[in-house]
Amino acid sequence: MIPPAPTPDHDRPRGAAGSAGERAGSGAGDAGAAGTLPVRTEALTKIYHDDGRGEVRAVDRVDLTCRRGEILGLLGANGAGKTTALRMLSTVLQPTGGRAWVMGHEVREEPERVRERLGFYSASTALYPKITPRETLRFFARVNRYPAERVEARVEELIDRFGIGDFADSRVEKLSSGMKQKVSIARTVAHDPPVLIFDEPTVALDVLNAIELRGIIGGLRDEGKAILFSTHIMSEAEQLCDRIAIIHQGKILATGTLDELREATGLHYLEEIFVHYAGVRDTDEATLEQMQPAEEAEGG
Amino acid sequence: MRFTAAVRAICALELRSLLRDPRTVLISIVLPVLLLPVLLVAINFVEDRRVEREETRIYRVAPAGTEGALAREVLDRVVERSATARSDGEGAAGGGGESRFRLMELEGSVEEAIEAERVDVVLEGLTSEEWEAWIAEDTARTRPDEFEGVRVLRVVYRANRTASREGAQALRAELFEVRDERRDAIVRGAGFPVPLERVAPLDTANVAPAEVVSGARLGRILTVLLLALVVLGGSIVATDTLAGEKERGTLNTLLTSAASRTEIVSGKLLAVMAVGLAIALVQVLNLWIYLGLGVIEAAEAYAIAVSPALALTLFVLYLPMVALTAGVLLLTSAYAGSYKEAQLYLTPVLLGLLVPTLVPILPDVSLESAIVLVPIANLSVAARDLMIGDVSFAWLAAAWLVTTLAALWVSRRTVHALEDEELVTGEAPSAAVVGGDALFRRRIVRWFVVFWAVKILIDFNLPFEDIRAVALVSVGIVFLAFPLLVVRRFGLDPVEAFALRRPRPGVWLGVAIGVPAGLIVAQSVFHLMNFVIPVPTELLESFGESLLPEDIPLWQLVVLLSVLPGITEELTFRGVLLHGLRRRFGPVALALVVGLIFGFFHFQIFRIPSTAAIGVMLTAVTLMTGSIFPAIVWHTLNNALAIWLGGIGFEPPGEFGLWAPLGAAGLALAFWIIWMNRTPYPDVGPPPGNTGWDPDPDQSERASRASVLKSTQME
Amino acid sequence: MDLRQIGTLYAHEMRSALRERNIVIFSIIVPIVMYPAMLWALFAGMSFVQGQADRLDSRVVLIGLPAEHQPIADSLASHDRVEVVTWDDGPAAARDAVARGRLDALLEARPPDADDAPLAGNLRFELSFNEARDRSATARSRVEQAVGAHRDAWVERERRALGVGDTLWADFAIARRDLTTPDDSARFILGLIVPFLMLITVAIAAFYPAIDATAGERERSTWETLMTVAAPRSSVAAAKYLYVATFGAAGGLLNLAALALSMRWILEPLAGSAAGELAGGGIPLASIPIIGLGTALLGLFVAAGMLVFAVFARTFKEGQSMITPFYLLIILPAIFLQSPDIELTPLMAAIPVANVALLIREAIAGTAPPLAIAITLVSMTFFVALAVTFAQWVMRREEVLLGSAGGGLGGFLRRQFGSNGRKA
Repeated sequence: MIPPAPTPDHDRPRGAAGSAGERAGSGAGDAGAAGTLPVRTEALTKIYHDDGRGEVRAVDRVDLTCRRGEILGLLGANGAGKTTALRMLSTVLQPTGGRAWVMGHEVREEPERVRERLGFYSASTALYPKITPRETLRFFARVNRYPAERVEARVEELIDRFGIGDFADSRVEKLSSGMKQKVSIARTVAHDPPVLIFDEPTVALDVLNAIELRGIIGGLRDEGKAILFSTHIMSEAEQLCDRIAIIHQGKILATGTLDELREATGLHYLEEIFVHYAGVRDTDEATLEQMQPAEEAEGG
Repeated sequence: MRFTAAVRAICALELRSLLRDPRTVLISIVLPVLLLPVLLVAINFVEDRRVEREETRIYRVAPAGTEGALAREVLDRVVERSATARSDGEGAAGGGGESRFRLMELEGSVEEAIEAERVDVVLEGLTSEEWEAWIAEDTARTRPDEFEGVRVLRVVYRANRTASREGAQALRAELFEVRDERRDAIVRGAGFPVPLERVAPLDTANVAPAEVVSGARLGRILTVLLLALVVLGGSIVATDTLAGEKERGTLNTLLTSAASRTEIVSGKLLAVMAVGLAIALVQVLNLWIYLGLGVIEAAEAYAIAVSPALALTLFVLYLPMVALTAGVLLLTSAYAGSYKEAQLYLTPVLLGLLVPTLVPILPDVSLESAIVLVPIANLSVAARDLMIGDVSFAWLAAAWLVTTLAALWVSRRTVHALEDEELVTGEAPSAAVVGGDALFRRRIVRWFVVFWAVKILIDFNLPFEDIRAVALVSVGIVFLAFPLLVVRRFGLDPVEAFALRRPRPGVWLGVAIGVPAGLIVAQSVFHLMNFVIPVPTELLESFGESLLPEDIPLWQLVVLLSVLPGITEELTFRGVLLHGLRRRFGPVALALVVGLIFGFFHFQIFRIPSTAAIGVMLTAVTLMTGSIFPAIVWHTLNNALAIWLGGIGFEPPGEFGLWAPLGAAGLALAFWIIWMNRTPYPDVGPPPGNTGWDPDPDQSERASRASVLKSTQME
Repeated sequence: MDLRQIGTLYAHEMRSALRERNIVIFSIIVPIVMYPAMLWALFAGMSFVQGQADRLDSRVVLIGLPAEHQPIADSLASHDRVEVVTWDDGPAAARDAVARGRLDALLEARPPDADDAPLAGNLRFELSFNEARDRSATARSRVEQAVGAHRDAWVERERRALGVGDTLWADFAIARRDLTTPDDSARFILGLIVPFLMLITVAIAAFYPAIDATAGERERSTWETLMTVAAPRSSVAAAKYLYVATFGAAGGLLNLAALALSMRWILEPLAGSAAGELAGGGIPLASIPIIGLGTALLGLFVAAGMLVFAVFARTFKEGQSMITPFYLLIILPAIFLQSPDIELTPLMAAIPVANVALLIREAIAGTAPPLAIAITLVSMTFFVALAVTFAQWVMRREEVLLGSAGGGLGGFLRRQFGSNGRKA
């Protein structure tokens, strides 16, 4: 085991990876930074109060950025805080502290503008069973304020692009899971948002569908979308993501490209890198807990 | 509400989804439409048969008794009168001159004859002595003064046999008529110039036009019928929409779209309203058609033509009510985690919504009163007044506005519910896993509902006459067993659950002042509430009489009616109930809720306000001192004081006068003293909200801790 | 069939059900709480309305009342809630005011008809009221009372003057004596409502368990888990069936017990203090086994019927829709059973469901004829067996068990028997 670091320095990898523009942005103030970065969070925090466990920091002072044409992977175990962080970005949950911007719009101040610029896909964003794929796309394009006169053209384009044509007019409830997945992705991008969030999208898919989905996501990146992609599967993160943020117990432990992470840890495989960071963190927590039992108890 | 593209799209989606679900359409819409006439025809049929049987039934009557001759004489006349009446009448009942009473000869004893169904009713003639003896057997039987030393005709029957019961009723009515005839003959024989019934005869004339009368009848029940239909129709969409969407996962999809929460609620609200209204209209039309075709006979009283103008006015009038109803249904759905759960809430919601629509049935509720401030109730009354044809526009507009505002408020609440993260994500911690106290806090309401019912059932079946035995079981055993059972079942720490902590000594001074002051305040509350819940005069008069028998020693009364309830009821209400609800409400709401539940256990509706007032005081004391002991002492002294005052025949001061402010001042002083000596009840109020936002998490945490501290100290 | 295995499965079903909120509420809490709550609401509502009515004020106008009949005005004026309004605008305007609701009643004194004139001082009253208003109805009865009392006093004076003595005038008193005991009355009331309520509560109490045992398992994805256990499917089905039947019957019996225990409360206003003699809510001890048996059979029948419909459901909502027709089919005929004239004849005893309802009524009254009891039991057993056989036949099909049948019972039967039905 690696001895516990006195202060977990999660800024280091980001600093290493950060472009000049980004650094300038964070110095120049919110508006400037937001203008250049599709997604940015600053000390984003979410605290729950749980009957049994008392105060739970599901997301703890998370700083993230995602650029155009980039896939940022959030890699973490189940319950690490990935979904909570992404839900805060999509304004379903409200941050307890910190701030987050999507295309320059703050999630608490302008939630609708944020959602307008965002496509959110997860295993729990289901489709309406009684309507057809065509109606689904039309509905979400409209609800997401896509210009009314271009809705029909956009729907046709999506049907074409995602190969939905054959079943565009059967009801969603009758479709196979593979078909539903295509419709679901088309639904996510129906209003052509600049930012896309995929929260564990492959979790319920078979291998072939998962491969296809990853292909589509890659394609979307190439179109210049900023994509946040959460997963607990190492290989997926390795293959797909331009940069990886390792999240554990609500905290970002490291951010960087795979190479940067390798360099920082001296380890080759992502799995090893993950264990390296997560392991450090665990020891850290345990020590802290032993040191301050009284304060912990008071929190509950 | 703006009809943005998103609102229209969401509304259309809801309606389309409903129409594409043939099974739901069939079961929830088509079936009721078909069943309504079937049901009405069936009920009509059963009722017609009952009436027919009643009209054609012949009652077998027989004279008996020492004064049997009188009975026979009177019965002869009854038989004759009935025959004349039936031949004079149109013969509609098929009587054709046949009397409804057939004179029989009694064989065997009166009881046997009736028991064996040889006769339906026996008319016994008794001498006044026999009657006096019979009356003396039972205190419930009485004799009016003017019949002292007079013979009596006694109708003997069995109420559990239809023929006997109805025969007795018909015979009694005839007996009064025959007696009047005989009296008339007596005074006329003595020289009275006119028939008795022609002395100052009174003719009554109804000055209200027929359509107004039937309008008034229909107006009373119109709202309740329509609202029930709207609820049943609207709930088809409402239960499925938010709650069902949580289950299917589509709510997440919708919430991450750019539609604002307001747009989502607006669109869904419109859909619920549309379906509710459509189904109500279809059912009304359905009924209308069957009435028109004569398949169902309407009661004459309701057969009125509603003019198109009136129908339109009513429609506009009802719109906010429909919106409010739809809003409530949607809100319920937002709170429910699944379709199943939403279904569960539907019945109580339906009943809750229907209660205010019953207001126009109450006598003398005018729109021009405080009722105008009660949503739904105000429009129900307005609809009735509109049907009678007198209503002032200003009041109508006020009622309309109030309900509209209520509808908007409920919609806002639904929007907030969509922002509530626990409700949206359904990620509440599982109490079953947490167990013990958490599970107890979830189940406590359920346990109390059952306890309430069981307590009533036990109280009504206690086989004791003696008030001491009743008190011992009802208060001593039942109220003691319940809290102990709860504590055992959930494995609670008795010290925590019953708040067995030592208060500061100063508290006792507060209690000493609070007891008499509280009693006065409770009495004032009783009088105050009398304006809202008027006590029937009869009940008010019998209030003081029935309470305490005089032959019980005072010490026994004090033990059984003050010490015992002081301990056991406090363990129940200020013990487990307060402990179970402590995290659900802030201290003020907690005191009110626990007080009100305490009131409901004294089930006479008039006693609820005053006992609830005492309950609120006792809960407040417990919350301030964190201990049950002051409440026990207060409760005991309160009851003892009431017994003592009743014992010395003290009349409670009428209405308000000087007493009420004096009591209020005393109570304020008492609570000030207790407040100064406070040791607050631990852990009160909901955990700090998850939505509070602060750029600095550490700071927000400190703030939330501070607010917890503040809220515990309040009250 | 291995009874021990069924027992284990049954215990498992029962245990999970007792932790399921909907089931606990509809099968246990509602049946217990319903009557106390209903009666409480009824009594509270009644005294509330009574209090309201007592408080109604009456505005009364008297026109043309001769001085000798002034007592009418005096007695009205002495009433706390009556205001005798001075009126100068004439009777037509007063009638109009009553019609508009600004006055509540108008009493006009008119000269008597020619035939009535021989009595010195006689007159005729005309009371105008407004049938559309409650206040006016109250005012009407108050005025009628005042006039009636005045007339009685007048007649009394006159007949005394004519030498008609009190005893002669009183003639005879009228009394009544009801031979029923509180137990009889309790049985009578129970007999009227129990057949209907028994059907409803058994159906409601079995409703949620039936959906829970089928669609619920599919929603929780425990259905397949259960299908892969070593127990034969018939054992699984039997355990589920018994569990639904248990809840149905338990709901019915709890409800009946709660009603019987509420009886004293219902009787109090009718029988007065005699209600205190009521024992056991009027249900004779000897009929408890018959009631129990009847309810058990009813539960078994209802459970089989509901399961057959619900087994096709994949979601709670579907299950609800599928069971509703069967539910209505059981409930609706019960309307006819409410008539006390329908008796348990041997013919009626052959009709399922209705016969049990009537049997329970007769058992409560203590008058169940042995022949009818026997026919009922045989008939019900036969129909239960029929329903169970059918349910077993349906549940044995693979597509039903795997939930791939699609559609409800109707569609399934069409596919099984239809010559040109679609292939499953």
